[in-house]
Amino acid sequence: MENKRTSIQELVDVVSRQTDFTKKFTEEFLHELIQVIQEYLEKDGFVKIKGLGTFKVMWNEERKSVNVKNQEEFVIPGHNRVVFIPENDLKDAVNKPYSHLSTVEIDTEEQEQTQTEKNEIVANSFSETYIPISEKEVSISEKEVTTKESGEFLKPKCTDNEPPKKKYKKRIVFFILIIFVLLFVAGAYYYRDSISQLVNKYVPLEKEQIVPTDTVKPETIIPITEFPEDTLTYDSLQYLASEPVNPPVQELQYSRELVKKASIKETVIVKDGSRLTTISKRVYGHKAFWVYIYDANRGSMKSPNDIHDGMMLVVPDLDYSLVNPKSQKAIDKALELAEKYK
Amino acid sequence: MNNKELLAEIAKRLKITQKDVSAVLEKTVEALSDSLSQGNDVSIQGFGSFEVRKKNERVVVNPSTKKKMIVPPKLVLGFRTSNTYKEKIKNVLPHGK
Repeated sequence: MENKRTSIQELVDVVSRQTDFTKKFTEEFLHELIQVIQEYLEKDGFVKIKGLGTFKVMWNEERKSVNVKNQEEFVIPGHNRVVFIPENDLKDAVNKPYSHLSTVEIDTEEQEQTQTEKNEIVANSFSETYIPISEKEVSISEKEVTTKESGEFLKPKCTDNEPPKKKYKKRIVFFILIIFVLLFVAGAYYYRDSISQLVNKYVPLEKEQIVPTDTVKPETIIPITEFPEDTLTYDSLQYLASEPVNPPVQELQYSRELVKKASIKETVIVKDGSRLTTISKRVYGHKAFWVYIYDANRGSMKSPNDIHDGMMLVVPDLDYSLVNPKSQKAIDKALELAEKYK
Repeated sequence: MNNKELLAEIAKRLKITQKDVSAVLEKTVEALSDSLSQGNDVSIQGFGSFEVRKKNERVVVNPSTKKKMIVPPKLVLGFRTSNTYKEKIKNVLPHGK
């Protein structure tokens, strides 16, 4: 350690400059001071100076040692030594260049990095006196305590451990997040069908309104023309009856002339007490249609009951709508006609 | 010998007031401190020298928390007794008034 040395003289100069006392006097003062310290160290074993520290005399017990030259053992006798314990203020003053540093955990890289120009100046002044390593150490004081440069005189273990641990944790969190995302995507793909169903439930509210009713309600009107005449049933006739559309009046219009124009469906010779009704029943399927047979045979019959065996009667071939035994309308028409003849 | 006694003794020897002694002593300590904080050693002939030593940073483990810590480097003040004075002191009996 090759620090610059200050002698008493320099101290004397400084002190005398700052006090009213002459150089000579301060020199005398300092000599006296040291003298007193020494004397009283011997006497009391300690001397305390305010602002500076404490000089103490400590006793070392005798111990064995080895002469390095001839490897001989010899005894170091017990003896006193002078020890100086500086006061805290003085300690801090001496440690000014590094005062901004403090003990830190390795895991966290938080360091106090207060840098002052003064520190740099003072720190640089060390570089002249210290071994080259100190230059790097000084530069460390300007940066974080743990840097790559510090690794030169300090095992790199600590510097390596810091970043990987922090990065390690970060990486783990990152990977866990990625795994979660992947799981989510996979699950969505796997259940995409049910998802799409759910979506459709809520989406096409508008669609339903737009689309006209493809599904036909049972109460919708079916035009009669669509049905073939054979398939006209009692029920369908009911519909027809209730419908104001195209009542098939034309087809049930009947006049005597129709019977005359109509061709002959069957010629019947009356026997065994047949009546018009029985004949109507046999030929048309319903006895109500006897009126048409009567009309067709007016020339032969004076009244509907004027019928006897051996008579020849003509059964007209009328439009099926008139003589449809299943058609209530036809039946009603026929009955209506019958009323006239009674 | 504590500070008071020191002041008294010096005042007696120099025939000045304790107040003056205190003032000069204070200035002396100040000068010493300034010099040291600039990184200079201060040597006093026949007595010893004050020197500034550097302590390197080191890794420590807190035994209770098991955490690694880094102690930063620091400068400490040391005192080296001069040889003449060492001899003087060696043979002094273990302190006791």
